[in-house]
Amino acid sequence: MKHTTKRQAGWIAAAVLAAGLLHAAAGHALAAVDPLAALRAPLDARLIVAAVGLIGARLFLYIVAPGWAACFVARCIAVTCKASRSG
Amino acid sequence: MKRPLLIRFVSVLASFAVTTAIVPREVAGHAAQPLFDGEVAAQDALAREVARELAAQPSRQFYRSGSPRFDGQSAIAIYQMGILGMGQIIREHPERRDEYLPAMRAAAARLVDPRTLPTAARVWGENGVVAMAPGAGHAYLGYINLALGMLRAVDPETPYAALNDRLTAALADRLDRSPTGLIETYPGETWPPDVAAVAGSIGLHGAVTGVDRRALLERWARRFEACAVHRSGYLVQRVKSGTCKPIDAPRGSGTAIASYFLGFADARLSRRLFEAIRDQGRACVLGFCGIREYAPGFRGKGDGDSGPVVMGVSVGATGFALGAARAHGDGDLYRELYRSTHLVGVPVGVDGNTKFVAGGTLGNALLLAMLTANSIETPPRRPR
Repeated sequence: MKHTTKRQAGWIAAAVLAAGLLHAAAGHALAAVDPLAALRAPLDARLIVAAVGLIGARLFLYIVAPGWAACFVARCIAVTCKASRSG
Repeated sequence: MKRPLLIRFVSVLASFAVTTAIVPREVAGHAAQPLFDGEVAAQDALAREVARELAAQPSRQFYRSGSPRFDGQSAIAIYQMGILGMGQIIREHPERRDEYLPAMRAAAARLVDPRTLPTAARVWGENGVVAMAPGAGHAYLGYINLALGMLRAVDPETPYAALNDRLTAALADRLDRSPTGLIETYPGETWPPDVAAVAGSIGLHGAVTGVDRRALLERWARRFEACAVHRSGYLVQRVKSGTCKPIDAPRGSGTAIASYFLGFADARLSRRLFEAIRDQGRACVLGFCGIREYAPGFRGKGDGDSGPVVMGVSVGATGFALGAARAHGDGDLYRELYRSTHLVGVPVGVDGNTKFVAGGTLGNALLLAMLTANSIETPPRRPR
């Protein structure tokens, strides 16, 4: 059980770190161009990938990661309560 | 559903509901308070990036859209808002003067260059910076003259002082003579938000030089209000020239920017416009707020002034309302609007500065002016 808990915590931390890195990289790539000028120029696939990555990372960091972490904490508390009741 | 499964489902749902209600608003709003309080580090991070972008621009215009009017007007807005933003910071932190004055002076040189806005000379026959025929409106000069007033407030020796005097006198005469309180921006085009910029520039000139035109502005405000302010309190975006007949709806973007401009000229009217967007235009989801582009009872798709309109809320009205909120000391609305600006604008750190990824040069200059807004009537906040 302890092993599973540690592994899940590691997954959450790794996912948040990866999303943070993706957000930073995509943000810096997009910061180098002016969106008004870019919208009027021919489509650049790298910018589209960066924009999609940025939006995805932002949604994950704002909504998914906090909810996931809260679920994990709630589960840990529930397991601890159950263990203390039974033993 | 078995009981353990149901408990697990409810637990997951509750976890996401609680965190979604708390985390995004806290993350997106954490930078709002230092900006509202006028903390110099927060303001510097925005201003240095705008100053860097202005200095890096090799030509007078920033965009090559194929529309000379858009390219010229966006350049005027970038220089004007850059000067206003940096000037507002200097008003709050006089020790920043030496850092920002060179960028303000360089922006002013391009702002007053008639080649920056070739549309004006094309449609009027001459750029108002050079000369104005009697009766010709030239309300776009309000943007230029307001920036010159701000430059003069922090740089009394500016070589543009005489131009600021001349433009102010010419524009004040036009406002005073207008039975509607409105003057044209271009032939056949009358935009009340532009006229608010004209009035703001006259008010700022008076505050800086001591030339008292308050009586003129009070007379003008009554005519302007009767003609262009809708009963909702929103400002009509455009009227038929020479009349008070609306040819566009009362709009949030125009109302919010006019409230900011009028903070330099008429505190009562500025407050009335601000209260209209705050009380009737505010729309919020989970603490993220925006301002509706259209007054109650009106609909539309927006345009270049409003930017994208999503579920009735526009980028322009929301961004400009930040300036009105700070100028009127409404910290709650400022924080609510800032969260949305953070979410959509995506601020990132670049070489120690803050840049809004989605803003571009124009958006960053506008946000600098709005996030640091103060007015002549409202004393600058006391930084912590």
